[in-house]
Amino acid sequence: MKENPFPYSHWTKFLGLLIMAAGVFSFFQQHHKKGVFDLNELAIGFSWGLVFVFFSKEKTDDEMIQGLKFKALARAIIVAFFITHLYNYLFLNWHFDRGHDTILSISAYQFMALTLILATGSFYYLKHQLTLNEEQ
Amino acid sequence: MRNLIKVERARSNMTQAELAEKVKVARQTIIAIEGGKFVPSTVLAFKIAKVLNCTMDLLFELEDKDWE
Repeated sequence: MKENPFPYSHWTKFLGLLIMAAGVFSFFQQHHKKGVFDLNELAIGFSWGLVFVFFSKEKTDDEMIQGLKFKALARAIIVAFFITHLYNYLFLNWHFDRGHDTILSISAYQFMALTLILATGSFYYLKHQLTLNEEQ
Repeated sequence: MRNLIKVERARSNMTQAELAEKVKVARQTIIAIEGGKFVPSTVLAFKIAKVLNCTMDLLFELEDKDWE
């Protein structure tokens, strides 16, 4: 019997959703208190929440589901890295001076959140595509 | 890879849900395999053949594009 590579039980998806909701709540609370939109606050909630949503077992977890998750994650990492690099270049390092400046980047939480949003969306899209027009 | 799972399943008077339950996969997986969108592992293919009471070479057949 093959070991399932996804460590969390199915119910942790709900825990992930709760963490994401807490992240959104905290984001708006910070805005209310300090008057700033702190995207890191939101990204922390989303990245932790999506770790539990994406890396938990599905209701029926089989080899196709695991293959689709791997495919979705592989695609998401490439796309998220490309978007991150483009954003860093265009918005954070446009006037970068190699002699004086240090390279700026979005936070690890924001990169992780972006990657997992893309991976989760891509997984459900691929799953839907595979069974499209084939339902009984 | 071409397969005759749909035909053999109909012959066995079994629904996709029943077959999925017997081989312990999601019904979507059976739908994808029957539609030729997903090629199962050897273990799963053997399980399907056993449940449908037929041999692997009857159930699965290589196509020319599989050699490319």
